[in-house]
Parts: sequence; C-alpha cells; structure tokens
Amino acid sequence: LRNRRGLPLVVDYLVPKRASTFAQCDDSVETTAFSEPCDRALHDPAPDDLVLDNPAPDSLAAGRLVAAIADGASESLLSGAWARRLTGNALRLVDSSAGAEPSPQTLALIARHSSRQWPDFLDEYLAGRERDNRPLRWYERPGLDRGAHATLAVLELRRETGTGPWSWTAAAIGDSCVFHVRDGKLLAAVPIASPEQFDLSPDLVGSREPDLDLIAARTHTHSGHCEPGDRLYLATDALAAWILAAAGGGEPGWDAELREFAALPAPQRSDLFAAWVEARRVDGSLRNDDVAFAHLDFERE
Amino acid sequence: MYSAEISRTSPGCFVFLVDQSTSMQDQIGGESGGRKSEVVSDAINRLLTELSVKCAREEGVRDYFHVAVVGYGGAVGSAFSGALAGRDLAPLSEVADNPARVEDRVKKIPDGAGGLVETSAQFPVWLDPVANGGTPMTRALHYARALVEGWIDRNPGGFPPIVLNLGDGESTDGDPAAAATALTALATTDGNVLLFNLHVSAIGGVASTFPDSADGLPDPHAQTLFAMSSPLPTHMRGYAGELGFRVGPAARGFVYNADIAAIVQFLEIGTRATDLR
Repeated sequence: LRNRRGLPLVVDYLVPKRASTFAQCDDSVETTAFSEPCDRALHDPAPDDLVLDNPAPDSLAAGRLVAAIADGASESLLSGAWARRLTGNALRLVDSSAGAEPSPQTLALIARHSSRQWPDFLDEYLAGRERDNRPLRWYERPGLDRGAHATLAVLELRRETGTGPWSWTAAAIGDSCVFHVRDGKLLAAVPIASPEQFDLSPDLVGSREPDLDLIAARTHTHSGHCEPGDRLYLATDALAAWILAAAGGGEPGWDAELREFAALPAPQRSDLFAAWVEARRVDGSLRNDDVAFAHLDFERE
Repeated sequence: MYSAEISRTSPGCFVFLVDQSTSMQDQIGGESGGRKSEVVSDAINRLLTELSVKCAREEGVRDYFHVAVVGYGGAVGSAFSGALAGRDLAPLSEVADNPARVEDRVKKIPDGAGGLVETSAQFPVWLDPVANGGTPMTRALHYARALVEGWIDRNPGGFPPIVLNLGDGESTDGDPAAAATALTALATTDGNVLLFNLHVSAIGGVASTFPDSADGLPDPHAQTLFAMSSPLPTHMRGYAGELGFRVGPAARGFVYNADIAAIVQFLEIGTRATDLR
C-alpha cells in the first residue's frame, strides 16, 4: 500500500532461512493493510493453510490497522502452520467490529480460539497425508503429540479522527518484537529490550490445551503515539536482535537500511530485502533464521 | 567457541563408538541391571530416536547432523544393519528412514493424577546387542579420528564433531588415552572435537552423570574414561542445569551407569518446543 497523504506506508517481508522454501518457513507476518497476500506468494505457491483472506483491505483509510507476527518453534512440527493460524486469528479477533485491543486477555483469546481450531486442521492434514500416500513416519508422532508452538506479537494502530494523531498498542509473548523508532532511536521495544535476552527457549503459545492464565501472565504490552517521521517495526527474533544491536550500538543509518527498498515494486522489493538479509548473515551480524518483518512509516508531510 | 550454527547448510557430526566385546555380555551393576550390551544398544537406539525426532519436520527429518555408528569387538567398523550396513557417516534423514526394524514397546507415562499408565510406543532399532571378541578401543578411537578428520576437512567452520563412546572401558589394545588425546586435538574454527563417554560397569556403586571429578567413581576403568572425556562446553552445562542435573564448572561429558540421552537436548538447532511453565 503506497502512503497516501496522512496514512503510514506499510510494507512486509518474509525471508526463509538458508536452504528453506517459503512453504518450510516457520514465521508469519500479516497486516490488514494489504488487499492481496504479501509478496511471498509471488515466489512460492502458498501452503494450503495460509490465511489469505485479510479482512479489511483498506482499514488504514478508516483509521485502523492491525498487524501480527509469529515465529513457529524449530523443534515443533507444523509450527509454521500454527504461526500462520495465530496471526490470522489475531487479525480477525482484533480487527472485528467488536475487536479487543491487543492485551494479555486478547492473546489468551487468540490462543484459545486457535487451539480449538487445531484438531480439525490436524485431521485434515493427516487425511491429506493419507491421500498423498505419505503416512506418518515414526519420528513425526512424538512431535504431533506435543503440539505446535509459536511466539506471537500483535499491534493495533488507530486514530480517532481523520487527521488526528496515530496511537498504537502492542501485546507480545515470546521473542517476536515490536519497536517504535524516532530519529533512529528506539522509543519502545516490546517484549525484549536487549539482544542478550534472546535464547532458544522463549515463551511460546502451544496448540495443545494452552494455559490461558499463563499466556496472559507472560504477555508484555506497550502503547504510544506516533509523530510524523516515526516508524513502527515488527520483527521475529533474528532481525529483532539485529535491530536492538544496531540501535544500541548507535550505528548511523541502521534504520534507513531496513526501509531502503520500500518504494520499489513488490517482486524487486522482496528480492532486494532478501539479498540484504543474506548479506547480514554472511557478515555475521544476523543469525541464519527465518525473518518476518513489517514496517509502518509515518512520513513527514 | 562451540557456538557455530547447526543447520542443513552447516550440519553437525555425531560419531557413536559402541563396545561389542565379549565382556559386554556381563550384567551391569547397580539397580538398573541388564546386560551391558543391551544397555548400550538401547542407549544408541534411543539417542538416534531422540535425534531424529528433534530434527523431524513435515517433509521428513532434516539433515542437521550426519551420524556414524562404529562397533568395536571382533572387528572395528560400521555397526549399522539393514539398508545402512557398511555405511560410515550417513545423513540423519537416511538414518531415520532406515532403522533395521520398528518395534512396538509398552512404556509407562504419567496419567496426570500422580500415577503411571501403560501406553504403546514405537521403538526403532538400528543396533542389536553384540558381545564378541576383545575390546580394541584404541583402534576404535583411531577409526573415529579418521572419520572426524575427513569431516573437518569438508566442514572447517562447523560445530565441532561429537564422538560418544559407549562401553565398559576394558580396552584390550593398549591405553586408549593417547588415541583420545589425538582425537580431541582435532578442531574446527569453532572448537576442539568433543569426546564423551558412557561407562557401563559391572561393579555398580553410585551412578554418576557429568561429574567434575573422578573422585568416588568405583571402577578403575571409570577413572580412565573420565580423564579422556571432554569438559562440557558452557552452553551444554547450562542446559544440563535446566534439565535438573547438578553440574559444576569442571563437569565432563562422562556418565557412569546412567542415562546419557539428555545430551541430544544440549544440541542447538533452533527454538525449543516447550509449553509454558
């Protein structure tokens, strides 16, 4: 979506880790700003479970936007499908007419709704495997029994009047992050504020009877107001760690690097961003992991 | 050090050395019981199972590791059976797809009310118990060194290979210490080769997991195997602590008459799948 006067520019990217296809990518990013699936569909056939029916094609013009990002655990089966289900349901639940703000209770609701849908998804998945003559192997059963796991961060952006200031609210569990940036400096970082805080055991939303009280207790929230020139970023762990390190180190231009390709047409934009990600992996500043990223830019008039 | 990525583009290397000598038909000491040969073959089968499950995704097992299982007894060489017979290092996906057989075994799991309930579980078998011939541990360590040296040539920047030796430590072809030192002297840019030992002993005594000293180990061979074992890298000590093991700063990759399957959990291939607690 191009930035029309007074509306933020919204761009999202998905880059699988090396040797992975988009179908094998465990990250998910969705926003209500897009009337079409994001650029990944141009590169790779969408998996059957990919949620494509974004509910509000032009919600920004109505003064509202919801974005969600999730990262499926590497060691769990079907975690990419679970991450996509969480982001899809986050958009539906927060963006619906009775939508709740991102909050601990809202994330618990998203988890409950998603976990109730999961058995039907699993039945369909297993039936599909049978149809494809690919019955479950012995090494898949323990992972399926344990369920799928993912982090989740949800952002709502809204303004009360057509030309008023934008305000945002975010809720996140795990290590998928939301950042508020002004003049290259981090005003807010949710739920993680330091690159040293990332590890291999973040809090995760599980598909199997999730403990809703515990999800609410482990959810971090934050809110703020955006001024012209501000940015909001959503990023999964590898890029989030890069952002925190770059911002913390005061590297000039780190912020512009991330948005460098935003004005380009979709396929070129995605390819160049993927090349930027690969270059950072090669120079060792970015861990080789799936990357999901969305940025919302509030341009100066 | 010991922080290199383990992925399909930068896989890890696991070499299992399995004592298949005649002395392995003796009973293990302590409460767990069972023949030593059965204990080590079960341990290998469980380790390969855990490794495969850890790396399993919808499209199959991902080749985050290449694995060799080397037996030493009447001969030294690949101990794989079935379709993998004669193979040395094989991609994990091939290992997972080619056990000799998959057995249905009964296991007990918590029933959620403080008790246990029996359930059926699939147990793949790559290795059957064997007890035959001497204990050429020194030759086995040289064999592992050759495998690992080739691996490092092809993967100089990768996570250092891990060699896990399972047996009763009663080497019959000389003191294995020098061969162990030569093995662990090999290194990638990320660190030296790691040599861990699972010692199964008929003497019994107190079982020990990742001790930081050989004091109190009741079997004289345990002293030798402990001395050969690599110190656990820092992050592995951290995971051992999270899993409930009491590990000191000098803890070594050595286990005496106890389970060693936990080491699979020490390996980092990405976000772990754990429920909130």
